[in-house]
Amino acid sequence: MTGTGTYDIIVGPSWFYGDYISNDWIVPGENFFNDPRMPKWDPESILPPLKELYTWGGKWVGFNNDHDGQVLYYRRDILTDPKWQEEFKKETGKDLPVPPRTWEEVYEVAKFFHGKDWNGDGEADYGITMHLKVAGQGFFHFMALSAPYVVSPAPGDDPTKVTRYHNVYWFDPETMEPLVNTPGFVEALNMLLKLSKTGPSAMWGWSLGEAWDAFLRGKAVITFSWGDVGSLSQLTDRSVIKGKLGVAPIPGSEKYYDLETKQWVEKRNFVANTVGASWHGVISKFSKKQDLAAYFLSWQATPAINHWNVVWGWTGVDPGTLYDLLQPTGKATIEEYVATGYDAEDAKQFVNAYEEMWYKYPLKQSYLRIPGTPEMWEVWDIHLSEAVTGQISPEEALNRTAEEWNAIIDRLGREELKKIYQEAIGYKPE
Amino acid sequence: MKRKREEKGNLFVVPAVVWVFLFTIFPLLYSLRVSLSKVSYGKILGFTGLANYVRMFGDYRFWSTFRFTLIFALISVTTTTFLGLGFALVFNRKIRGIKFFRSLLTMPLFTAPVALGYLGVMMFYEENGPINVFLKFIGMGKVPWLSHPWWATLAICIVDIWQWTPFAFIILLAGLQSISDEIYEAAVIDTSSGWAVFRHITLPLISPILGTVMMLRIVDAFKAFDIPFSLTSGGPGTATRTLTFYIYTQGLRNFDLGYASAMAYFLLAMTMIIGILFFRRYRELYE
Repeated sequence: MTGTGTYDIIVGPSWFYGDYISNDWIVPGENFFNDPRMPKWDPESILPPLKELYTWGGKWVGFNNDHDGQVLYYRRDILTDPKWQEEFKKETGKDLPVPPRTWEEVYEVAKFFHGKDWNGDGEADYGITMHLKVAGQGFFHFMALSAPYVVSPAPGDDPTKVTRYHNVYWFDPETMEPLVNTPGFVEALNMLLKLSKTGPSAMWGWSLGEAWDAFLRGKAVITFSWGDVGSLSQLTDRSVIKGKLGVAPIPGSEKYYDLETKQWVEKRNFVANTVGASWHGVISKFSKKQDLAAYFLSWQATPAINHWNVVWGWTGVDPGTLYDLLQPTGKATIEEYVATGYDAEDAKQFVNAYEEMWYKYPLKQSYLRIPGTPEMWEVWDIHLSEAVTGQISPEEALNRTAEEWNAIIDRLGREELKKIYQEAIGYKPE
Repeated sequence: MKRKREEKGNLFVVPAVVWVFLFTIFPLLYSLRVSLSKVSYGKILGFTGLANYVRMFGDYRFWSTFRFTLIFALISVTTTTFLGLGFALVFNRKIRGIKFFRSLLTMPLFTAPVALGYLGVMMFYEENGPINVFLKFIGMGKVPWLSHPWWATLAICIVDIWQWTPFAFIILLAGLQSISDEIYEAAVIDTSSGWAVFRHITLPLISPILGTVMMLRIVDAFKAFDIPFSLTSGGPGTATRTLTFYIYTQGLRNFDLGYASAMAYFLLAMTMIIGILFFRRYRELYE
């Protein structure tokens, strides 16, 4: 109730764009890009799926800062160890996949290692570690995991085209009916439940810190999370896995659900994600010093500062621009990462995993940028936690989520939200 | 002359009246207005009548958080009062080192609840937290303190009881120490039963204090927020989410201040009704 205009800049998570735009709170950042007084940074250097988080309706709105997306981390030393490869073959009859490329493979690997003393400390160790506590950002795990089961390629020449049934993840763009209880999501939640049994049951009550810590202490063979794990793994005061880190793009699935035909398609599907906040600054329309605000944000967005933040890692700013990717695709060298304390092979694995996911994956998961997003995610988070801890079934959890999302949509205005949603995902009604 | 002096005297009351209007009456009336409005990001968009209240009665999460609040209040208030009374009876006698133990016992009371909640995260840590390590040492299994709805409820209650038992202890000890020794000396002539002395002498004499302790604890338990917030984040699911936590979520996370205010009014009404009923029954019993 303090009124507006108190702040010049909002540094917020990307899910607030729907509110920024629908309330007409901000001015586009691109208004200042050609101003000769501004420090120079190249918006085109931001990698393709991330660009969408910084733009609206083709206009640049935000200033380069953070770049979130989840990738798969694994113990390279363990998965490439011939002893474990042989045992895996003996136990499962299959070759140990290095790295695991689909969630089904992740499950097999995690299940195999869970309960075995693979780190030699005399105690049983874990297959996977995740943060599944309510309000512990566990729903981001589920977003990344569910995407390949839900997002399907468009038929025809352009598989990335957004249609009513293809390349959509959140809602039917014609009706705003939630997709969260469709068969793809149910399959994914069953997979999450299976995976959650290949790690300590305590992780049902873990937040980010505990889940990362278990991996960094060398107790879990796999985790999937943001870029922070890559940089934290190099800090030897809290990590025992420096030089042993394997990183791969987020896994795909062995099949996906086609919303148009209402059939499962038995084909591998890979979907890049930008889940998380990708915190970055936008300029308030009510600012009386818009030039100065733009100067500050442009300065922070320059490679000299932003790339420095990325290579040092502990800043929480994760790689996502061409300055951060290794040559020849990007502009960085491995020496830049080694100079800040990275093991050369770890850094290569880490940065290349992001490059592969954001450049080579055929599809991408859309990001929810409509008013009411935090409330919808909170509802989802609660029901996912109820499902993971066995209070309700996966179907019930997702049905309840859909029901509550519908109530939120009706309360906020279905038609208004539909318009914003269509703009946000680039859907054009035919 | 006398009238003038009285008028001057009335001026001294003005600061108190202004204070009450500014910090009690105005927020109360303003939040009532908010509860009858549609609010988005702190901006009142329009009058909606009783819509927020109607929504509240149809919201199953509101009822589940209210139910948890009642369960939590019942367990916590009963246990803290019993334990506080027990400790007060034990420490209301001449024991060596009593001052040291009294001080030690009251320490949790002076700790911020949110700090105790985070301390609880470490104590109840399921993998290798001290409580589970101890349970393992004595041959018991690992308890899923924070990942199972029932155990998480117990964990919250334990931390709350740990914090608030000293409060009951201090007040009840003061009450016990205010009872004259002569009354006990007279009672010993009639009976040698310690229980009879407690039942017929001690309990009636400290009953007003006991009632006050219970009432203050009930009000406090209904407002519980910090410990569930820091220890379990209200989970798993919403198994340990109190009504205050839900109000906070709706008001300050989802920025739905209209709905949050409606629920806050319900909480205020409930606390007042329970308080009135409690005191009425208490008076009937002991007056």
